[in-house]
Amino acid sequence: MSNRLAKISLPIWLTTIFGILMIIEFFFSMPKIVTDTNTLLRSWVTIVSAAALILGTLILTIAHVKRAYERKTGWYYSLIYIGSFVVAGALGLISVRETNFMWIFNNMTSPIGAALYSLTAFTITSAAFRVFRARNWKATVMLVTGFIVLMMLLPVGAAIFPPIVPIGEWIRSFPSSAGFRGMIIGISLGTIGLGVRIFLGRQKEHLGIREEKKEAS
Amino acid sequence: MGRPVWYLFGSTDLTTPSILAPTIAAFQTLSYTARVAARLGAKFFVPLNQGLAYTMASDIVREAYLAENKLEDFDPLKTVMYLPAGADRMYIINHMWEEQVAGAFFLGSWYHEAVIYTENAAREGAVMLGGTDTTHNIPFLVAICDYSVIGEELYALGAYVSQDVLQSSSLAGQDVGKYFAIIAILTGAVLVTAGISLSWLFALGW
Repeated sequence: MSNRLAKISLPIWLTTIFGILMIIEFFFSMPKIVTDTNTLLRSWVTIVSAAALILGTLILTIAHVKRAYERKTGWYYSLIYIGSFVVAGALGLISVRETNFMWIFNNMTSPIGAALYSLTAFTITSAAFRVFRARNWKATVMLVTGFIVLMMLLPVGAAIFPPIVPIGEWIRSFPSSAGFRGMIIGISLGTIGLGVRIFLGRQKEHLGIREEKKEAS
Repeated sequence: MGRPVWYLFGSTDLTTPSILAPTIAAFQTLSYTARVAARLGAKFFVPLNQGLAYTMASDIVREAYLAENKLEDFDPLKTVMYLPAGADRMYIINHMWEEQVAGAFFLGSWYHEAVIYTENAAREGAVMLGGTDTTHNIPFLVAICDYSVIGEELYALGAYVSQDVLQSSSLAGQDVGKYFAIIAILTGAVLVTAGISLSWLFALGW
């Protein structure tokens, strides 16, 4: 098998064939063999995703072991990772429903995750301040409409200035909806365009393939 | 000088169709960006929190460095890094400060993480390019990023930057498709307004 066939042609052909198989089932009623093949392919996706997760975890572990071994900056954090990985992995392998494993999940993983998420509240506040500054007329439009919709949603807004509610409703129902629908139609057409380019093998960078560009004559 | 360029994807769960399409579109641009970074000797960093997307991105960036004969600059453990979901946020925020990120790409399917990361990149004075098809985040990325690609431009970006004649010409073909869609939408609106129904066309079973 030539190098080009293995690295370029085969992945493109596989993408095209499997992609078309999935799409035709959506639009037309297909024989059982096609629907069965598609069901099989979808289960392959789950298996490949799981395998990729294992690969990702392995690479992360190798990176931390390497950092701890070479005593690079923050190597002790790597030791914490390795320890956590070994303990949680071992308990999970025994049984994911086992009390100790669930204790780790409920009392350590979940609270740490919640704490990390809550920290982002501060970032979101300062980001809102940065975005809602009236730097130019476009940002001013965003500031004014954002303020109106916010006041509409807050009980205090209607109490201070009752007409804010119909104005806010009008912004949400008409200019905002029209903009969103236009955007969604454009995005759908863009997705179709990308799909066609991928199926025809014109765009293949996502497969790690990049041939030298053809200069316009 | 010497400050890194980051390429961030947002949500990368490739088994979700609404996330798959923008992520694949962002992969197309990643290939070009990684190649330019390799050519110029810029520090390039791609963090990902999903295994499948990680393996794909790793392959794309490696090929880009290989194409520029700079494979020695590609660190398989650092250039593209897998960060477990949940831990990725604090790692990215912390390292954006530590490494003083100079440029950041926010392409793909972005949800609330866009607010967190762009804010931190903005604090570091990074030049930002943002683009997503997630409608509720488009206004935010347009407002905060120095450069933005809006909606379907994300899908065209990979073809545009490739400077490949065939890919660029397909964008022109896509525009023709848009004109047909606009005509169809306008015709449909006029017919519905006039009370003319074409529903019998769709009842033929095809």
